[in-house]
Amino acid sequence: MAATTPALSTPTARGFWKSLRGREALSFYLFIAPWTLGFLAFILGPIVASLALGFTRYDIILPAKWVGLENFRDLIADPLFRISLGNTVYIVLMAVPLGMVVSFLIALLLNQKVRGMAAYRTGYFIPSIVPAVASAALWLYLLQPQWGLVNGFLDLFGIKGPTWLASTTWSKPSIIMLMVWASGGTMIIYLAGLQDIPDTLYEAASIDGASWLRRLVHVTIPLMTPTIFFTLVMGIIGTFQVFSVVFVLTDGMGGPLNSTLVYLIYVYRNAFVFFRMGYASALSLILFLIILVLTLANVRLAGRWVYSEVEME
Amino acid sequence: MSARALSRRHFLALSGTAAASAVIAACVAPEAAPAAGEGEPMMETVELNHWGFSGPVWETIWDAVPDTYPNLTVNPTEIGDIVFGDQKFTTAVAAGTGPDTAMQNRHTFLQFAAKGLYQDVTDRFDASDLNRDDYTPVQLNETVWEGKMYGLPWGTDVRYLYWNKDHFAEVGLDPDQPPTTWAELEEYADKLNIRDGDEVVRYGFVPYLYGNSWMWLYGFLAGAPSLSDDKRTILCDDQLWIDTLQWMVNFYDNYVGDFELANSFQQGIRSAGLGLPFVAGKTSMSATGDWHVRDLLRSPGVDYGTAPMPIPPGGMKSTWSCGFSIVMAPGSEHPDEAFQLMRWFTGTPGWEALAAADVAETKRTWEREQLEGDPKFWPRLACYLPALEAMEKKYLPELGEIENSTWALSLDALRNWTHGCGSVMGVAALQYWVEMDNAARNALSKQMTPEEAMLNCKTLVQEATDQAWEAIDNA
Repeated sequence: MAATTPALSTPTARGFWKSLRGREALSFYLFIAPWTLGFLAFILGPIVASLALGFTRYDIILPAKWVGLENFRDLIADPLFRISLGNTVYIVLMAVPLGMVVSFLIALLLNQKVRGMAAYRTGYFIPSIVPAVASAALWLYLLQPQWGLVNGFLDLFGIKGPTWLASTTWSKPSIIMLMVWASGGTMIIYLAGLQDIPDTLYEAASIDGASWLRRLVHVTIPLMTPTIFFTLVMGIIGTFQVFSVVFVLTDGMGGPLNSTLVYLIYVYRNAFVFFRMGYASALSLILFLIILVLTLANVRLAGRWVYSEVEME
Repeated sequence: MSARALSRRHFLALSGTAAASAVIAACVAPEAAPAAGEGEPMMETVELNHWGFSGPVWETIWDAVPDTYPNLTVNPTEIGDIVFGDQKFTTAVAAGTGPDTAMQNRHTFLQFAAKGLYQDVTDRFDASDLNRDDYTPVQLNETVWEGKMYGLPWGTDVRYLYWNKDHFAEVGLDPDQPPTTWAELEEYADKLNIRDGDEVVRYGFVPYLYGNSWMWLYGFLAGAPSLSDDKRTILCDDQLWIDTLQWMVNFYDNYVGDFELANSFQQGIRSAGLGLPFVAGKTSMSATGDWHVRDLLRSPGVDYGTAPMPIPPGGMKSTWSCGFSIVMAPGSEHPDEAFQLMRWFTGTPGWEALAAADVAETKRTWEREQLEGDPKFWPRLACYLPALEAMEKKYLPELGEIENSTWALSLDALRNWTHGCGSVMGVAALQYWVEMDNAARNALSKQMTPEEAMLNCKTLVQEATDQAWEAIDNA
């Protein structure tokens, strides 16, 4: 049999890696290798362990005890689960669209050809690369009720500012403001998308007599939909996982009165303050499913509004 | 450290020299070991890993360890958060990579001792010349779980009432007579409050939020129980707790006003660099700990007194104390030396080394903040009584009358009328701490009635306690 087996396709495979597509594939794998290796070495194991731990009671010290669906039954009855999920959904619903609109508008402005544009672009981008701890500390000062700059500014117009982070009403809007302020990363992605739109399309539209607004609505926005889709998906995933900013602003407590108790703060509290690893894993699994469903829904709906050169399946 | 880059040529030259030196050194005949009976036997030096606090004070004290134990050196490392959780230590011990010794918070001590996070040191303690009577009793007791000792108590604290004598005189109160009952506390707070229209200028007294009392202080003053004797039943739903919280709510309604406003007022004072409300003259009375004396020594303009907290009808003179203990981690490869370090750190030599570092830091603070007069140092409260006496002899004569009377008040409380912070919370201490705080905040900001808040606390903490006991019983 062995003698009649056709020769293995080694020469063909070798030839593939020398072809243009092969070299492109090689570059692709090399570029994603650092992330992939890091993922395999440090992240995959904990993900799998967390999936299993969600069905146990585990306090790190004593061996995990299988409890079946008990953690999931507990979290249905847990008021803090509902509060933390509600707070997170509120922040996602407010911060994601607001961040996208503000970033898009700023990107439009920064896409103009005026002197000193590099400085403006840098200025708007810097907040997004300020570490979360530093920007949160900065906003603590800005939002300080008595002497903070924000209330000082409002005072100029005779408006008595709220107590911001000390108020159950204003604490979430305070966090949303900070997140929108730091959405320079989205702005840069929009800017790159805007610069990808061929000038010929605008020229054609102008010749047809299209105004600035019509060019925006009929040329810019349709061609930006793949970029908008990407930032929407990433924004939802990222905002559901908001943690560090809230942790610093509220000393890790999600206060006042749980008004900023976001989902991951509650996961962290259960895992590393109360050492209820099983319960925290169950919470994480629920968050994973929520994000998965939303992302799949986004991808499914994308065909209805995202213009693409490649047909989306 | 110089950041100048090393040229490749210099690097190769240095590497070559180092390698050659190593080879030559290896060829030299080893030094002859001392013959039996000839001089002292060579003592092997052991380096211990200690996880604890960081900062300039904590970096230097370990240099003094060899003065007492020439065979020991210490490699100190920051332990991270040990108040709300104990993430670094717990995960390291679980992974078998813990240190030899570590600082641990007293309020969670039993919770973690019950899980086997600390080594039993009872036999080592009994075999040593240490004496149980030489420790503050409450704090020593809080290292004991089911009859065994799992650490040595290090430092502690005491909470009491501070009052501003100038403010008292200003509103016609006797500056030397603090309130002694809750009724007097209310009456005095009312007189001492200052408002400018709707704006707060000064609060007479703000229970719970200002200072460091938490809800525990008021409950203990009322005689409220926190746990059953077997530590299995949570008692925060006891009527005394509900009544205490109701009194606090009424106090805010009548003499403080809005909870959120009082909170942001305090944050505002801090953000403006004015320090703590009592030091800034923004509250006339404060329930807080002995460490506040340090803040007041840096602000000599405040003429104040200290006294036990006022008592409710049917209540008792009381307070609570917390602080830290030192433990030996399971898996330490040098348990004998680790215990030596524990007793050095909690004993008089360790406290003297720490006080010397504290004094140096106090001098630096005086220079940095350009404070007037000579630097003044208020010692921390040691749990080891001989060390406490040594601190008293050395540093109290340099301080004034109020500091000396406050020191005496602290020692009286530690010996006779303070509660601990761990034995009262049991095996789900973290949950108890967080949920009691939530209960107070929920009631004071009118999200729940005091009864609803305390029942909610009971439900959540009892569930955590039951789970903890189930794990302990099955272990």
